[in-house]
Amino acid sequence: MPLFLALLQVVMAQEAPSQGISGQVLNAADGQPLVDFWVMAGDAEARTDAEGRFHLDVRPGEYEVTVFGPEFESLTLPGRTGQELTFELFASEEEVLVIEGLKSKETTSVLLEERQEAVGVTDAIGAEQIRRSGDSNAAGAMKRVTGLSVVDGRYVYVRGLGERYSATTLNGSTLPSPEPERRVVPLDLLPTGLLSSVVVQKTAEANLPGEFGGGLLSLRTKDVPDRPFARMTLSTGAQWGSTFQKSIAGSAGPTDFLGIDGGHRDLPDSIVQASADQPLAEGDMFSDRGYSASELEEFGEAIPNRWKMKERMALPDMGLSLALGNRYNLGDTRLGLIGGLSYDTSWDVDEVDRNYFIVGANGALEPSHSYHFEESTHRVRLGGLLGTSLRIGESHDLDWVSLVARQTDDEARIYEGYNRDLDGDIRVSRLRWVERMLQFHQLRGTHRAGPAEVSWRYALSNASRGEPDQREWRQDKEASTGAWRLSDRPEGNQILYSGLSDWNHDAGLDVASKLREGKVSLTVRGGLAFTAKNRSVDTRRYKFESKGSMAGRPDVSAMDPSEAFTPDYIDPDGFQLSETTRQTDNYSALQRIGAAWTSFDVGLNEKWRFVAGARVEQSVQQVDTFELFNPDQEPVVAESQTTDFLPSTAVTWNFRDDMLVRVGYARSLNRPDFRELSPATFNDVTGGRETYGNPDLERAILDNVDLRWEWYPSDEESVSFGAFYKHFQDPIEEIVVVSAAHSITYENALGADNVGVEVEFRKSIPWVSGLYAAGNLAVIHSQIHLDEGGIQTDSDRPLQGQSPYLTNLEIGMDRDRWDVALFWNLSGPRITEVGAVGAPNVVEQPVASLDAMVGFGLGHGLSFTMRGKNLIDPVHRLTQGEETVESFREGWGIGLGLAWTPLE
Amino acid sequence: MRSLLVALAMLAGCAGDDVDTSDTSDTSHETTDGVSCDDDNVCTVSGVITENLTMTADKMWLLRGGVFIGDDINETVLTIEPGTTVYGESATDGMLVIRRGSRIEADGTADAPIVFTSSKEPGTRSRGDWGGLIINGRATVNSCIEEEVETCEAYGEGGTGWYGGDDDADSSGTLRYVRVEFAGTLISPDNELNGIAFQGVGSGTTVDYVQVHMNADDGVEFFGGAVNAKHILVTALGDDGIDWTDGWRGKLQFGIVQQGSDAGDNGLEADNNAEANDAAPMSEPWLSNVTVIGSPDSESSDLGMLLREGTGVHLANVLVTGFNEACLDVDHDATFANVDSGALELTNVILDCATNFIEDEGEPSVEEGFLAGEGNAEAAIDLVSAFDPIAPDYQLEEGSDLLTGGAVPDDAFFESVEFLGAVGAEDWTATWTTHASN
Repeated sequence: MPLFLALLQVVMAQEAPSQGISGQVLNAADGQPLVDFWVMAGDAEARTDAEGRFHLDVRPGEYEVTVFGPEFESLTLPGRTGQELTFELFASEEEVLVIEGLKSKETTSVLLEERQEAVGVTDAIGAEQIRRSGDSNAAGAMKRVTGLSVVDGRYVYVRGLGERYSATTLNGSTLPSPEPERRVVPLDLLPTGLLSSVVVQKTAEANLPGEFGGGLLSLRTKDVPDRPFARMTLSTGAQWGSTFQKSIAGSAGPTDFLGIDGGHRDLPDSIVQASADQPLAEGDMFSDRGYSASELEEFGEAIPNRWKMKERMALPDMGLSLALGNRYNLGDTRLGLIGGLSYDTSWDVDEVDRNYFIVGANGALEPSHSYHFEESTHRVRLGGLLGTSLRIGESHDLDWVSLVARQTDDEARIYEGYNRDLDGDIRVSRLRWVERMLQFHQLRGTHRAGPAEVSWRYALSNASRGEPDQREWRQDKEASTGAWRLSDRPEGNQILYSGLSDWNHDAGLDVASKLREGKVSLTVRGGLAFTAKNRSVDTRRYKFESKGSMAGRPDVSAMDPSEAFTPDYIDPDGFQLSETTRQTDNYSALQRIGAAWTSFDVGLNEKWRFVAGARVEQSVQQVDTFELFNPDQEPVVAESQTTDFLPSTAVTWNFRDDMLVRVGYARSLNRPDFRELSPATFNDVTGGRETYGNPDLERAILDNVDLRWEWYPSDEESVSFGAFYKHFQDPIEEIVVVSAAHSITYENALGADNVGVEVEFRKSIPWVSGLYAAGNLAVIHSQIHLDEGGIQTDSDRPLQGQSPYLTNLEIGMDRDRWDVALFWNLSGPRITEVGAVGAPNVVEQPVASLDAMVGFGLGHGLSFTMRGKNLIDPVHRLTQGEETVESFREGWGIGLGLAWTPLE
Repeated sequence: MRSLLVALAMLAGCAGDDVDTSDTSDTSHETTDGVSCDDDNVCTVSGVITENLTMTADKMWLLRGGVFIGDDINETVLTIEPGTTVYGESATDGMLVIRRGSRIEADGTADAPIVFTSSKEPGTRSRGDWGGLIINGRATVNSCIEEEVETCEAYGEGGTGWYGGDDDADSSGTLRYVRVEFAGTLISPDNELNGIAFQGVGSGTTVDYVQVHMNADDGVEFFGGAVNAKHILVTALGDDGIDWTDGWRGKLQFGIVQQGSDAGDNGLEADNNAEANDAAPMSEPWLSNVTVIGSPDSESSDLGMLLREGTGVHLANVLVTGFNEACLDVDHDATFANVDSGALELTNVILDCATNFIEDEGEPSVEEGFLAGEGNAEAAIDLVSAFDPIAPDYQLEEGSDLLTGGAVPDDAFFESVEFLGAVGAEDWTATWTTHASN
């Protein structure tokens, strides 16, 4: 496909007007004009109009002019400026898929081109690659990118730095997070079907948000197409150990298959009203609020009995997606439309043993708790995208895109086993339903006038998380009788409702002007950006307390909760519903960031490029943790206000057409998360240790240096070798506090260093047509120096979650009617939990995965793919010192997919 | 477009409750730093108190949310007059925290004890209605790794603040004739409020005649420190009676634990450090004249005494009776190591349970170790009325063999008595204690 080469150069080009080349493109068979075909010469491009006519703005000279379009053979003719050319094209014999993604940001080659043109160090993955590797969500796709690893299947670590160091933007606008204790978007929320590419920007630049650590993940929604386009996909899959397995589940609602609760799990109205402005509790001597025991009995009896742990069979995974688009020409105005929908559902059944250790006599690890976990998750994802783009003449572009992505996990979990503290067995059962949703509405525009270009964007987005009606209960095994008795401990008999909403406004204005061209070129850029974020978290907890003697009766305490929490035993003398909402469960937070930036971009002989810029960023953050029912109590307020000056500079040396070296330096920063600032003690609603923030936290300053050599042997091939160094001043790290419960807090560590090398290649193998290999390797060394403030065992250690090496290898063959590929991924050992009081860190041992795919074109726009996932199915092992904490296999899987592309 | 408008409308709604925190209307008459009293003689106390405060018996004192005495540096003194009742607000989980460097002077009398109780009406009260009393001191604790930290400081359960230091003789004031009832809110797993938590409290503190009743979690828990206590009565608890961990090295004489019929775990639960069994300084208190009473008819009431996680202890003149699982259990290698070194010794301890010992595979025999101690025996304990939840009598029956033969440790703190158990001829639990169940 030699066409690509020329084409791609066109894509990026922007040229001043000149005399140019004109002409017409006709169908050789009937002489009819061919509309909307591509024409290019040098680095200019054009499309044919309704008469098949085109005009290319090129500087005076001689050119090769190439024309191509769907279903026709392309044609190249020599041409000179001022000349009128006529092209007559013949219909193509082959079904060529050349055009798809031509200008779209989906193909490897376009992304490579873009990478070459970038100021800083970037890596990217496009929809084409994602489709091939079969990753259905953005998080899965990211682990194929150099130096990236994905933790918990949703958070991306760039260059070994935790997710707090990876910001995410969608079409250039910042995104809010649906996670109460984090700021970043869990990337598994976004279906890849709605994305065209993810570019990982690894060097900070003046035009990017100042909060930049390992990298900026810049996601792009699917492009508006240039012509009618339709694609439908169907997929299904099965996983060993999950599909058709019987497992545990809660009771289902009628709309669960859509991942929409639909009110099934709502709190009864009577309770909502009763606890609107006061806790659901008995009154006291000092206030006229509160409820009588009989009222509380009524409320308790209104709670739907959803306490039964049922059985359910995991079904095969299913997926469905649809994308439609078109473009309309209205005079010199072009209107493009795109719409997409995606739905998928998957099942995961896990059983694993987990052992916990303490430091016993003489410093040896001794087993403490040992639990068997059974977990079953049914996940439903729904996504929708609607976009329009309007191009008015050649000077004005307007784009509007709305995206909604939601993900629902319907989860059941039981863990059972020996508890050292109790010196007996416990069983803790939990049913939860978690809906996460991201809504994103963006309007953006670009306006060109002469050498100047102005672009702007505004996005309104909302991230939300709803966890209605989580149920949790604990049973303790009576040693003498073997009976399981309901326990009134804190995790017993609980009902939790939790919601989060985070609104984000993001506006930006960028201006660029090419002040000088030729041997010495100069472009000046500048811009303004503003982000406002408002978050509120609303949590209510209730439980059935063992109030009276009936609750302790041997026959009652041995009941299943679905029998015990019934009107017979919900009684002032039995179980009583009471509110247990904690003082720190609710908070509101806001952040405002204003920024101004400028940069100068100087080119020398088209060989050298110097970019120097600076950004000034001001940020205000405030967190109010308030007690819902104690209005007199002033909320615990934490505030942070900073103004920072962030210089950046980059030099690129194109010492050959296909080879370059770049060096960059940039200063960036990392701010505390909302909760990290607030001194209020909280327990993550998602589980985990007690945590309290530190209002004295400073934002961390990072100095980043990058060096990379890049070679582009052809438009689809690349080889690069890079190195980076980052120095952190006052990095924010989690420490384990000396306390009975080993609480977590945050402090500015003394410093940290992060240094690494990255190698990457994508190369066709010449002696077999279509055979290619691609791979990457990152070797990263990080070291954090902690103050002696905590009881973590290591005060000098790698950052938590960082592997010293990460590597990917892909080998494939791309033929006209079929393609095949193998993917291998390996990540080195990493700390999953920081050890305390002399206990070693918990380390996840290196683990490899191997995936494979085969695809066939079936004609008539149909294609079929088959995948094998996790084919070697290695054992995942978590170790602590010599001991094994956990060991499990994920199970291998197969997937089948059918795509129908009637129009493209 | 509609969704956009809806979104904007919602946003406007959100934006309203952003920053505004200032509007707290004040309807009270007298207001000082964190204290406001109304016409009905109710004084509400909340937040951090940094001026000396006296709670007088003529007012009702309501603890709203966490009340912290002192700023962890300068001294603030909270004085409570005899006969004063302090109520922990149930709706806000009221609790009282005495911070390091500050003192509580709660010096009641047998006729006018100081009572900390639930804000609910008498008759509707239950365990866990409010938080509890927490005292943070500057004595040593072992929660840190000994070699790396010079002065170990730790953060208390349930957001109760920092404790620990390097002064084992530190004083946090006086608790005398004090009752703490219906407290012990369960905050989260591992985050339980005890009736009274002595966190790194030093031996300069006076604790004498103290009852914890109907607490949801442990009655009295010592987190390290060296505080001494006499005449401690712990009744009808949800969890353990007297609990220590993280290096307590105090002395205790005349202690009673009596479990209720509906709840309760272990009578004594003794740890060194549950995460690092050899942590130093090691828990090694001296206890003499203790009576531990289970509830044989209940479902719970597990162990009379559980010694584990590397603790040492010198236990003398102790009576244990009525526990369903066993009277005595010793667990973990580091704890058994203390038997050999002499840091764990039991003398004149009498056990009277259906099963007296728990023997675990791979561990030394508890029974053999126990019987090797001087004066230890498995024998009937003849208390007058040990198991009565409403009107117990902890005295030994007339003519009991256990009225003599005891030997208290050789230390000026310990009153020289001959009887075993907590109560001799004189019933020190008379007049100032309670057994009300709600």
